[in-house]
Amino acid sequence: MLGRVQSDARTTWAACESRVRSVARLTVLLLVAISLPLAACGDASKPTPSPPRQLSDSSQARLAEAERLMLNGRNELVETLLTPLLEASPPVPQAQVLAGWAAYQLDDYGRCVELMSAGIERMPSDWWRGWAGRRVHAFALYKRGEYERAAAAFRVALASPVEPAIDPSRGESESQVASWRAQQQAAVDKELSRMHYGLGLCELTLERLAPARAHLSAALELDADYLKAQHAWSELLAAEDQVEEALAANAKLLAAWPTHEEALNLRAQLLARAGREADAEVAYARWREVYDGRAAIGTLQRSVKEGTDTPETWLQIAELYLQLLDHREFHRALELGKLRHPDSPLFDERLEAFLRDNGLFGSTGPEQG
Amino acid sequence: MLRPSLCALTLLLAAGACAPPADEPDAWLARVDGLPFAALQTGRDTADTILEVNGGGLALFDGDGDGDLDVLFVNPGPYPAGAAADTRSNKLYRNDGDWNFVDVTAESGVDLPGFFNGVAVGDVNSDGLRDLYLTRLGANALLLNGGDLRFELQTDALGAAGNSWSTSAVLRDMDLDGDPDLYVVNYLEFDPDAPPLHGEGGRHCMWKGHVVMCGPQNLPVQADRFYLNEGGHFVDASEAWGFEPAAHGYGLGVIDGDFDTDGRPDLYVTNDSTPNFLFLQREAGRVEERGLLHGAALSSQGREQAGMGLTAGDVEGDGDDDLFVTNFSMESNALYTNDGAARFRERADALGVGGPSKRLLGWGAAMFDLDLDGDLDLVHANGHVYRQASEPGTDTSYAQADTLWLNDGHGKFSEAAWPGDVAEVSRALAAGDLDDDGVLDLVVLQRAGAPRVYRGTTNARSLQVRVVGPPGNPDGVGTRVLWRDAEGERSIQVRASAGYQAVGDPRPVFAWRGPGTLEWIAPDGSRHSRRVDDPGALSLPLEGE
Repeated sequence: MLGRVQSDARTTWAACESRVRSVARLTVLLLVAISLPLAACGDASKPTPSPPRQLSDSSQARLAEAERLMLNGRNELVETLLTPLLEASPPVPQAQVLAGWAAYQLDDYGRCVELMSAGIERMPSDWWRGWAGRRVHAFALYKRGEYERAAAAFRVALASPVEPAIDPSRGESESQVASWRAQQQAAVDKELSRMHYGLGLCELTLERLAPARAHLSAALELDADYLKAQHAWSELLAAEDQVEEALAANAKLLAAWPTHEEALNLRAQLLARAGREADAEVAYARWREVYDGRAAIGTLQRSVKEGTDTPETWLQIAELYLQLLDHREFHRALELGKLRHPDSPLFDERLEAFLRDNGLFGSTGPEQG
Repeated sequence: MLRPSLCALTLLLAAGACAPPADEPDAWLARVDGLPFAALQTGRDTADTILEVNGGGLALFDGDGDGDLDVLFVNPGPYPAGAAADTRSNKLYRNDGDWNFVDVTAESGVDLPGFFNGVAVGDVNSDGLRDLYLTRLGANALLLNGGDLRFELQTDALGAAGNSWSTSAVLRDMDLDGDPDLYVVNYLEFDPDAPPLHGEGGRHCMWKGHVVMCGPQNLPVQADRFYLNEGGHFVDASEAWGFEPAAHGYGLGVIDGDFDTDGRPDLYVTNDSTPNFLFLQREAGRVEERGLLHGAALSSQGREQAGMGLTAGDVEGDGDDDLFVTNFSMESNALYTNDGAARFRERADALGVGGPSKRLLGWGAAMFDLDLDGDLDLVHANGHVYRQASEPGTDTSYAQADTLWLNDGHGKFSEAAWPGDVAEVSRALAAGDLDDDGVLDLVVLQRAGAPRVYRGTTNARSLQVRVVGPPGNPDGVGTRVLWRDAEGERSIQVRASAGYQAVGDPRPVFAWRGPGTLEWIAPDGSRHSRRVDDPGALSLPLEGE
């Protein structure tokens, strides 16, 4: 079941980077798309990429191993592995970007900014991962509260899109190439969507509503199903005092992501503003239900992060989401558990049972957010 | 950090604000050394449980009724339990003026055994003298003021001792019957003989890859209590008054005010890692917890934060009190702006005090016109709870410089220089005019070490107002004072609490920009006004007007 979900995604992502051939690397991209918050950029200056340096086989292998570690959630090992490349003179920019990416995953945004600021200006200009790295860099700045720098970084990323090349040596048919180009464009659009979202979020945070509207609108135009952008859109409408429109956008998001705490809080606030206090109380009752559930989930997630990473823990997380009626996060917990414990049959068994219980056997599950 | 001159230039360019006079000092605060407080110690350097993390408290109050501010330091005592007494006991200093403070602890009665945290000040027995309520782990202490800075411990705190781990408290006349009632903020269940430790009892206390002290998460919460003052004796009225939120929080701070401007006192409580409380008294004798519904419980993203310190004041100059809350690192400060009906919006990021605070862990806070330019500025103490915060990979640090934010007159802030820019591990703070020069000064406690004292240095002139209330409310707590001059109108409410485990100067201070009209609304709702033609200090008697 999960395999089918992954193979669908694999088809989409396959065209993203012609050099990516292994399933493992594709899954890294998939994981990154799932787990990292959105859009992009570098610093205020326009990037001036240097010609890519030829990397030795051992360096290439080290970078590939770093990506594998990231795939397996072992971000704490990535920088150590890449140390020889980071300490080279000059440092290998791809290593700086990957190590920065891992630092982001470890919530060490300062280190992320430090590494990525040094790496992204010198990385190969056609490196898809590096372009997405600009997004991560900008988000790290945002997380540190450096909103203006983050906005500038997002703008630079938006101004320097990378179009992953089709490898002409592969000799596929014209129709195949055309199909890949379409998929490639979809992938580029998706990345651009995240970058617009990030920039829109910066503008919204700083209460500059007109540019926030422009970028959030662009994000949703590029990817209408992008849930985080949908939430930011409802926040924007709320900031613009368009209460009914904000409530409608919020309801759409909550239908897809029923445990989105921020959205539940926003809903209650909007209802209170609309004078519907009883409805607001009901919304807060649901918020509190999710809040309490998240506390239990958070405890399990922390234990995973700190070393108690077992299939059973991931199953418990999934079950808690199911209790909160969030099928999307239920699926996601199973998928992440399977990624980390590929030999365990528990995840497929649980998903099959869920689908059977709900008369959905044969479904591929919900689309990833 | 910006120097004031650069800051002023920025303000001038950005908002057309006036630059300070050319003879303004280089910094708005200057450290005062050589005071007897330097010998005081507050806490251990080697603290390894949550009990010792929060630090002690302080009160700047007129204990002997001579018109100036005496200073009480409330200190966590020796720990572990049974350890020998040392310099970390409560200390009381009499203010003899001109920065002369005399240690009167020995004869004062404040030197009690126990692990103390915070303090509230009020005239509990309506004899015109300011009494003390001290919070601690276990039964709290009530000390009645016998005059001349001598206090007497009352049995069972006159009914309000409790037996929890109390942090902050406030003595505020909630039922407007003329004497102060009591709200006590409680934190969590803690057994000093069996402190929660990582690896014991299945506890997993990690933060960013480091083993750290346990809590507050997964430790049992303790409910706050509200006591009515009935003729000098306290009666628990928590349930009767509705101080029963949907879920209790890990309480750390409390501030009093009238947030919905209906004339009845309200309370705001910060909770660690749980939603904050806004208790609005919308009908006499009954409060409702409206924090969530009124937008004052969570971050702007709708997440609970680790609410630590807090302060309140009209930062926008629109006539109502806004709320400022300090939080954990990577959470940022919160600034809840008020629409006048106690509906709040969290706008710290847009108003400039959010983003730059992300790597800070804030504690005590104060809001006052430090540069005397006509608006309320902000200060807050900082310092992490985890010593491990200085390890690589945390993106923060254990010791942190305290922060000063200057208001541009419209509620937008920019950071100004903190004297020395020294990184320390600070906790509670209180603002007060210790030298009676019309400029507020600041006392900042350290988690372990001597308090820091800072003198307000501006050369600008002020109007300092002392509200003289009747017995039961000698400081006129609850009075809203409005100063209207040619430049506009500002209002400050006289409060009983300085937020986090502290009591500050109750005297409102306004920038002097020329003659104007002073208005004040007494706690009973009566309005008064008078013309003021000269700067300086003046008294407003609530009785006999």
